[in-house]
Amino acid sequence: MNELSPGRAVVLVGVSIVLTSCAQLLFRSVMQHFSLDDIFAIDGAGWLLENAGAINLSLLAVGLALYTCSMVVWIFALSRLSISFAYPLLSLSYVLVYLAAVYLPNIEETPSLVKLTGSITMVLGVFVMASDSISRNSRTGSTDSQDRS
Amino acid sequence: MKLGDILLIITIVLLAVAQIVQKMASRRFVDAAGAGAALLLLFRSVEFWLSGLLLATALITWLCTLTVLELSKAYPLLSVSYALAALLSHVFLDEQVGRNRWLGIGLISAGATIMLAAQ
Repeated sequence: MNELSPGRAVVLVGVSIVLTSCAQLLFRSVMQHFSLDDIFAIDGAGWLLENAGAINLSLLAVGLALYTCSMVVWIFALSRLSISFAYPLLSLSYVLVYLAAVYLPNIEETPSLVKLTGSITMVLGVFVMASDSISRNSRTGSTDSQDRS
Repeated sequence: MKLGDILLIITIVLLAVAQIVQKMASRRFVDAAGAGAALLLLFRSVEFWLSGLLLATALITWLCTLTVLELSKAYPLLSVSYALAALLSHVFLDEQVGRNRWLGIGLISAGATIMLAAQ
């Protein structure tokens, strides 16, 4: 892992952000076609067999696989980056997911200035939280890189 | 409050509590000699398996949430779990929360409030 340069590690963070965003978009693209009543009506294996085609389990599985890949790439990236620098970058996926959910044809969500403002405020909040000197210096801080590696 | 909102809140709480339990799990092997011994202690700890159970449950409640709520609204709201985890770590693990951390918690809460105003 020592040959991974910090620059490339930042690229890996970008890859992880894109992968995790794609996973969320796949989850939504499948689940948007269901109502909670469908889910709570599940009565075991019989229902699953009957509706397996409709739920498109394969797309959900692809989403889970992308999610897993993003975690692996993330851990590789963390081998060269401090968590206090890298973790807030993950929140950029909120903005990416907003843009994709609104503008991709497979997901029918409406653009709204309110949602965008809320998202950006929360991304700012994550960055400000991570900028706390305590999180970088304290050995017991919850964002200490030792906790996640 | 609708069922989708309740499922989202449950997901947020599960994610935050899972972080706290993982932190408790990590304390189990602070004094372990070597990576192998640490892994063994980890796999034997209740906290490790409990955090896995919490995260698996959060995935299910999250997928159920997505049947009702828009991803562009619900996904950013998951960041409330960062703020909640910081609060819980302060209360239950005696972790220090500095000025910027409180400020960030405030900003996330403000963003969440703005988000609730969206259709």
